[in-house]
Amino acid sequence: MDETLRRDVRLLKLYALCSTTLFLVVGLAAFTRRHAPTKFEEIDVERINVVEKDGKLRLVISNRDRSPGPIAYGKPFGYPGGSRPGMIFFNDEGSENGGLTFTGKTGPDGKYASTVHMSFDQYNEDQVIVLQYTDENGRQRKGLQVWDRANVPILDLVKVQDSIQKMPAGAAKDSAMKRFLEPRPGEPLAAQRLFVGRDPSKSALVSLADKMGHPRLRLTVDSLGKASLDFLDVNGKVVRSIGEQP
Amino acid sequence: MDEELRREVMRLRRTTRVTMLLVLVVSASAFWQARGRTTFDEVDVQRINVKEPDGKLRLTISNHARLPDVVVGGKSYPLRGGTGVQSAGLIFFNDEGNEDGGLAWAGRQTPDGYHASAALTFDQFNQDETVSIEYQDANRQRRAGLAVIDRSEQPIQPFAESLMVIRAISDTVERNRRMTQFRESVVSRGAISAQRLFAGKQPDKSAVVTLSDRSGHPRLRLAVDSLGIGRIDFLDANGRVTRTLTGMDAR
Repeated sequence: MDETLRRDVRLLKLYALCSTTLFLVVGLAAFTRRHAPTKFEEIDVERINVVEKDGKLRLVISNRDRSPGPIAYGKPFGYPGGSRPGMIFFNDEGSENGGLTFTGKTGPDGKYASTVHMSFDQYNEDQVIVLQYTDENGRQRKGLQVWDRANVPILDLVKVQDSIQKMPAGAAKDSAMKRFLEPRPGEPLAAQRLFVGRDPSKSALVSLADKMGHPRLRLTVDSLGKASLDFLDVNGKVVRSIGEQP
Repeated sequence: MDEELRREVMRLRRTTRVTMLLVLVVSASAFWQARGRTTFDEVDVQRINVKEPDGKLRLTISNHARLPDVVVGGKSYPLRGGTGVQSAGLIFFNDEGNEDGGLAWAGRQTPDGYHASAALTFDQFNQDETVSIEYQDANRQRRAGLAVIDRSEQPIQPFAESLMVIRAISDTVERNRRMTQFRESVVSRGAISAQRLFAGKQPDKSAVVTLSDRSGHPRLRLAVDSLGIGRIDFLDANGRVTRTLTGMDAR
């Protein structure tokens, strides 16, 4: 009797020793795991934040609902998130500097809208390179755009815009908004300098524009297959056209 | 006393059995979960590696601190540093685990102003970028657009090896001398790259489409300059304009 009891106690002691060791190993492993990559075969996720060691955002990959609104120096501004599924890029300072987004759906009226978009932003400003396909139920514009942006930080512009929007409706507000959108001395807020692609009129084209964004040199093959090379003036009037016939 | 002890031990045995079973169930379910897909609402990471079943890298998504070194010929070369640009982003790898493109971006204040860049690049097989969509900006000196580049037919790995050796030289004068020598030997071997097409804007504030010959010399250039003047230039191999079309000419 005493003998079996002693054996049981010895077994239990052994078990206690084993389980304590196991517990320690597992516990330690849980802590060291942090330094080695964790492996998954596949993950489902609504949002991934790629962050620097100090916590600064460098990239958000997300679904629509969890997508961020604009962020500069780590602080949200402009409009709320939830409209940009895909990837949003951030520079070394935690300010948004581009993105790769994709949307497309058919509405209740049976019409569809689709956009796939990649853009790079000027430092502390808005998009200067845009590679995009937009489609409003068959009305398509697709290609590469290169833009000039004013040398004004986007945060300053948003501040001014917000203050104008808070003004009571009327002549004062209208003229303030008009002034806001007008070009600064020699430099508009935004000007498209180059487009290479296909426009809604179904023309394939290469278009080069001046600093105000007016197309001045244009190569086109239109929807009927007619090719032309046009020089334009500042008002959009064709001043010289070189066609298929000499 | 003895009886009590025996009951105690019996109880412990039962408890042991139950906890053991519990541990088994928990660890088994943990393994089961790790095998399939895992679901998260939101995760914070410094780096994600997308790998083939055999462990070969296909894609890294990372911050700057964990951006992978250049991998060519199956070997890593710490050649990305030294420029001061702290890019984060995606690096692509081909079936053989060698780098073949990327999507990366950076931007911050520097002692003399700021630097910002972003690029999507596709590399020629075992060589450097052959297609790029890129924005480069140093203190308002901006270049942005699409470039198509011819690269050497020779693989880039020996180039990386030589670069590693030269960079390791501690004597600055000797290092610079070897670097110049190396560059000249690359050119004399004909292992140079040539930009064949550029469509975008340049630091002189012109918008251009440039088509170049196999040596990288622009031969046909469509431009609207900073004053808004549109022109088309044909150029010879020395960069001399041989014919110009403008809006001013006779119709």
